[in-house]
Amino acid sequence: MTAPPAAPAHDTARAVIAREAGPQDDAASPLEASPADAGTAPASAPALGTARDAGPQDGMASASRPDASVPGAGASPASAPAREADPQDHAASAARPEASLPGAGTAPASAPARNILREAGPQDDIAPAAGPDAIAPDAHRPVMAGLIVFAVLAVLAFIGALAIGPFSIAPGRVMAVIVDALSGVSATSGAGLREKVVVLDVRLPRALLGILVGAGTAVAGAVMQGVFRNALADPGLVGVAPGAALAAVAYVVFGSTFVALLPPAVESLGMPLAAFAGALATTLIIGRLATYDGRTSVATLLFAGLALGALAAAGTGVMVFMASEQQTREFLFWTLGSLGGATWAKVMLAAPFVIALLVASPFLARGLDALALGEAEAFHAGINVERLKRFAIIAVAAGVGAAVAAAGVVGFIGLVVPHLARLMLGPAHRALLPASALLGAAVLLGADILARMLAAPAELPLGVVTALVGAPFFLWLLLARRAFAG
Amino acid sequence: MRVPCYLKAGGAAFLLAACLIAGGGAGAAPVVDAHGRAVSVTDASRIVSIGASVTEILFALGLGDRVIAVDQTSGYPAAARALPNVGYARTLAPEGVLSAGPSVILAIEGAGPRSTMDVLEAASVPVVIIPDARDAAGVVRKIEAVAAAVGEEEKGRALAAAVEADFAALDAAVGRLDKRPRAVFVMSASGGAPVVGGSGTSADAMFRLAGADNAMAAIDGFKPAVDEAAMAAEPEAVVVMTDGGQKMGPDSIFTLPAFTGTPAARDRRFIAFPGAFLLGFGPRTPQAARELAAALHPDAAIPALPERAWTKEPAQ
Repeated sequence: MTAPPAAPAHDTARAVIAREAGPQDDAASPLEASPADAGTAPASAPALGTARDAGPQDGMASASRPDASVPGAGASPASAPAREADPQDHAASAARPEASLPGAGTAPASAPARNILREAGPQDDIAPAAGPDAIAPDAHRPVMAGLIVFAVLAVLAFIGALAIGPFSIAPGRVMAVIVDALSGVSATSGAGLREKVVVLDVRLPRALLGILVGAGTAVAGAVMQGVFRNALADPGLVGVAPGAALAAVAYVVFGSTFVALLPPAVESLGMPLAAFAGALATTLIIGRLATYDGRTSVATLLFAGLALGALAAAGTGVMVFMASEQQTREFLFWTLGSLGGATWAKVMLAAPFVIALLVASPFLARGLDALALGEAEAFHAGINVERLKRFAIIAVAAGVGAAVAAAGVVGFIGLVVPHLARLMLGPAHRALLPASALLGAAVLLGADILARMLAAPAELPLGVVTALVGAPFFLWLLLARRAFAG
Repeated sequence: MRVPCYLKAGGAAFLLAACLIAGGGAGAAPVVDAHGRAVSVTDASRIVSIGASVTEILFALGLGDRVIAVDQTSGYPAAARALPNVGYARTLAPEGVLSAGPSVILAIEGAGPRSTMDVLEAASVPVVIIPDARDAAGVVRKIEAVAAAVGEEEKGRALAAAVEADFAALDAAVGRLDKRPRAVFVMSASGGAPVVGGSGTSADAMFRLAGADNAMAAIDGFKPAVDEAAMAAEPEAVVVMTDGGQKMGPDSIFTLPAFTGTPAARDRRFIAFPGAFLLGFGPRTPQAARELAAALHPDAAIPALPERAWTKEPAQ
């Protein structure tokens, strides 16, 4: 029931996991939680955040009162369902039944854990957190192996995206076209020219855009889950999708007046540019609203995000009401996401922002790991929590804004890909962020191949495919783990 | 509400007169509408017309002065645009329609939403649903249905005969063409994949009338097309509506990956018509199909159809 008072290094490490996984792990596992619990999860997230925001007394007070199972559970009963519904917790508790420590047991152990975190640096963050269980004391190898598997998947998906399509080209010809293009040979015959156009002007930009959208969305999801310390968070929480949708529908309805202002060369980028501006503006407003006196409150961020998201949705409703049937249809297809119409111009538009997010993410990893313990704990571990949060929000807004602008709203990836990565590699962000990027790219490219093949020559909306294939797979994974872990 | 009695009397006299005019004196024989309901129209003096082609037919019948309100899609003739507007044909509100004070409502099949049509059909004002059409015979039926609903069968027969003759002339002209170009109708293309008109759409039917093949016939309905599939279909012309959601021009269309390298892009064959003219399936449809055929067969000489009273204004 409790961790040994004089915990050896190994047990301390386990205690870190226990805290990351939440003190409520002793409660029912997520799948035993009632649907009502699952339903309350997003709403209860702020309560969770607030309770943790409450700061030092969180860990300290309970340390001085060994009987109190205060941290989290006592301070905010509402947070329990949120944590229970959280598959991350399940992953941790299922794999490590002995880690199911009640709050009282965890709290005292967390102080040494903090010290270790601070002194030993990021490398040791991974070892305890990422090690799936006690069977693998050396956790680096499985993490590396997992990353390599994801990288192979992404490369295979990329090759598939270049080779598979309704316009059938022999894989050998695809290779030849690419080799020719790289060596500067230009196709002469008519058939060769067609193949060249399909491979270089249609499939290649589409596949690259798929990588950017998939990787960007998944990493942004992982970062948001880290910032909100809730596995149900996704970039939509800070208004990216609602803001982009409002701007996109406004462009569909009123855009013809603005198109005249754009030079013809960027005419086809009008909608992406509008969506990007909408996403960025909404997120920055939400971030601004949640920042007071130099501190960004995660709880306010969440509520401001909900409120502004609702406002943007209402604005979208007004626009849809004003739109003609044709415009409504156009907007509906946009909200379901698509890599169709991918051009080099769109790739160039999205690339800087998504790459900025991907490059920035490793620098967030240590901070997000520390943040998992609580804001006060992260602060004591030497993390500039305020800067971390602001930086994370701006990076996510830019990256996801660009992804949404280029491909519409592709659901599911931002929420579930980080989960899949976490289930396989553990919660340490140093591995989780690159794993999410690779897996996100692979999943999105795979889904896009299905989107263009299943109903060819018509194209299924990408968001429909990601949800239709991904959601059952994710459920199966959860159930399989439950059966395995008991 | 108290109404002065002289007004009541006046109203009654007016109603009686209208009834005599409308019913041609024969009393109101119920018409069976497209929903299979028998509707008795006793007074066709104040018509709310919903659907671009219904409005066009009413004006072509010479009954434009009886139309008191139209829906948003009714943009032709110009006199119809000046009338009060009851909203978009598919998002009607019952009160909006009834507040215009109609004595009869003519609505194209597909007007809605369903709940509004239920309320209107249950209200005391008669509602006649006009069957929609995708071919020559359907347009003729549409004209006859509108004429019957307002009790002007005679005028209806004359209009139907003229439109039938126009369709026959069109068929003869198109039948002489030896080539059937492959065309694609693009509904929108601002984000993502271009939404094209597949088989079973009004655009598909217009291509048939204009002696062209729908390059995207493998798709059913208006759906987004995979870029490379649109390219593989090798369309020789791209047809759009001028009044769609986004302004589409040859520059924006032919830089889309879907049309890169197609014969249409090579020849820059980009054809744009107003939506109601191109896809309305009203009395102007033979002329619209002739215009489309001329644009799709630039090398062939296709004789112009006779100008009619209902085609005089510039296309809208």
